[in-house]
Amino acid sequence: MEGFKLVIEYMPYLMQGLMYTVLVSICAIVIALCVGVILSLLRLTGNGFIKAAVNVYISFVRGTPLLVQIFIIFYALAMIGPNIPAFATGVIALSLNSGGFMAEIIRGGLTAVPKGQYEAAQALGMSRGKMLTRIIFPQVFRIIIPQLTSEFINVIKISPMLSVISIVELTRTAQRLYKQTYEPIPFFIAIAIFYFIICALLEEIVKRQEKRKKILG
Amino acid sequence: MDNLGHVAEIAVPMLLQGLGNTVIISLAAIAISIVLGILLGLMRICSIKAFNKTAGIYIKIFRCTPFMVQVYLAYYLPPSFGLKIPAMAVGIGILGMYTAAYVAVIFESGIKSIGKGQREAAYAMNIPWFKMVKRILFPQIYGIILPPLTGQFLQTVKDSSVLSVITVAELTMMTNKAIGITFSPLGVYLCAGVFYWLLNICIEILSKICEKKAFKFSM
Amino acid sequence: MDNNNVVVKALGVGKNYGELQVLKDINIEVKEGEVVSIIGPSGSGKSTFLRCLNYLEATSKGEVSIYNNVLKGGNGTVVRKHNEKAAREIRKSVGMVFQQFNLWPHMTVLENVIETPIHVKKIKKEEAVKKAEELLRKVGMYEKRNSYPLQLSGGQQQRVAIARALAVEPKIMLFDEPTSALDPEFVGEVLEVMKGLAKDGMTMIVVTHEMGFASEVSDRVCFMDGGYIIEDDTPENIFKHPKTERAKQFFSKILNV
Repeated sequence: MEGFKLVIEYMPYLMQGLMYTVLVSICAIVIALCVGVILSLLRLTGNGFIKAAVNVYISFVRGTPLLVQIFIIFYALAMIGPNIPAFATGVIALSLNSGGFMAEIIRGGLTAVPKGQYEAAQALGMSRGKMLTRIIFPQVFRIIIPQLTSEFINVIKISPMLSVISIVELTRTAQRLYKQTYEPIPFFIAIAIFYFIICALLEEIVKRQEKRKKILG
Repeated sequence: MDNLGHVAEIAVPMLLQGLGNTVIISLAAIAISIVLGILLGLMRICSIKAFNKTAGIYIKIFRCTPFMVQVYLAYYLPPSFGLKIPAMAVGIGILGMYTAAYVAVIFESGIKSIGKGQREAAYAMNIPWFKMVKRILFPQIYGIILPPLTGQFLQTVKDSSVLSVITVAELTMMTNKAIGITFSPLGVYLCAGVFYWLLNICIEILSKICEKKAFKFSM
Repeated sequence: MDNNNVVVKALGVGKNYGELQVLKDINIEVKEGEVVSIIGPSGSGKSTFLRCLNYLEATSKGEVSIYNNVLKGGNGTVVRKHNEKAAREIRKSVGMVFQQFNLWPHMTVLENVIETPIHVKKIKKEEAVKKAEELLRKVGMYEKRNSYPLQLSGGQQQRVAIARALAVEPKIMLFDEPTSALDPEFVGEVLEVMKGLAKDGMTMIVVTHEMGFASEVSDRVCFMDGGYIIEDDTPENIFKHPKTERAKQFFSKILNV
């Protein structure tokens, strides 16, 4: 009960942290989508060297812990300029990571577009770039909508890692409140519930989207 | 350049020590997750409602909250009940429990991919449930679930880095320590990244070997 | 029939899935050594009824009795416990062959057949293998004993499935549309095996669309529609002089195709 009172007392801070987490995640997922598209386009149209570079990037992003990536980006950005705001650092770290996964999702979506679609576009004399941006990608997005939502869930679930570089999102807020009150349990349970509600809701949306996709075919 | 050699001399042994711990932690957590995951998966497919629901709730909780928050809770909860558990044990335990939720889902969908008819044939011949699972379902899903399981275990190795926040001396924690001594963060982190990467590639190769050994019965 | 032992009895059997009533009121008796074909339009509940006999489906009401082991209708815990026990007994003497064969694809033909004798009936392996080879010869699949099911044609798989069911030495065999999933050229070989079984005096209940088999081999034919058995007679009477309008319509449709 004591703990419950504490949580209520510090609710404004937790809410602020929650807002921060949601904002960082939304910005990150939007940029990640752009990164994913650019990586996919490079992989589809680039020369051998560019393709290899993209593959190494994706492999590194998928093969190393986000925590390590966050530290690398944090120190790399600090070398570029000391005045980059924490929010931007967080968004960049999450979106560069998620972008690698996004590229793989798009790759899966590309294989789901029937071959006839490519052939029809080519037969009509479209350039490769036009064909991809006007015919193929719009279809890919329709196909991968559920995976995009899943990836958004994932971004929210990995966003607590930003707390290690002192970005005051939800988890960092809980840590701060713990340091202030010496009571870790209530705050961590509270934020766990917050995360749970968001992720469970989004999961329901994924289920709906998948059902709809099945109906639409 | 002289400086770089100096940094490597200090950092590499520390990183290797961390790498060793990461391997141990990951293996232990994976072992826990397989046992617990199979148990949960079986509970999901069995017809007893209470089992089914319990497993469902477990899976939902662990999949819908961030791992880092789970780690903090696992670290702070036992002391509030007067229990003292070493950070390493807490880390292995929570990583195993977390991974188990994902293993359970992979396992469950593997079983569901096998037609209901095969189970019915077993029931019609009086083969008990447990034996049916062991002799009819298990040998078949092995090949089906191996690729997603590998993906999950690669993720587990990466997730183990989160345990650095509760002072488990794994690779990420040791990296931070090495940086505290050498003051050259970028190079040391890149080195740690390469270590993780290599570890992942090893697991992938291992899994490819297992896949080849997996029993092939279709044409 | 020199023997009047009733071995299978269904009394007022009903089965619903939620609102949907698949079986309404099924009453039937099958004597030892009898071959009974169950025919009727799809959705009439034939397969469901067959699956109720060995408790792959629980009945909602009524009673199934096989060799004096009784399966009760309903879904309470007590009833279920009772039924599970009875089902174990029933399944010892009842073999089943499925439309989709349901062979275990990770085991060879021989392994499929010896699985239950070894692991349920606890028979020694050499003995089980000897018995299985004999059964495989009987269904003409001995040469393929080391193949995997998915390497075989549908007809071959179904013959193996019959051998597998026979391996537990059942006294009654249930066939759930055993030829419906087969390409036409493989139907004959499976029906041949079934005819052989009938000749050997096996009690058989066969859900089928093969009117030729029903009229030639069975002692009795039941016509099911809408969850009831609406005709139950000798093949001769059923096919030549159907009493109900539904049966007449059904026969005119399938026999004219």
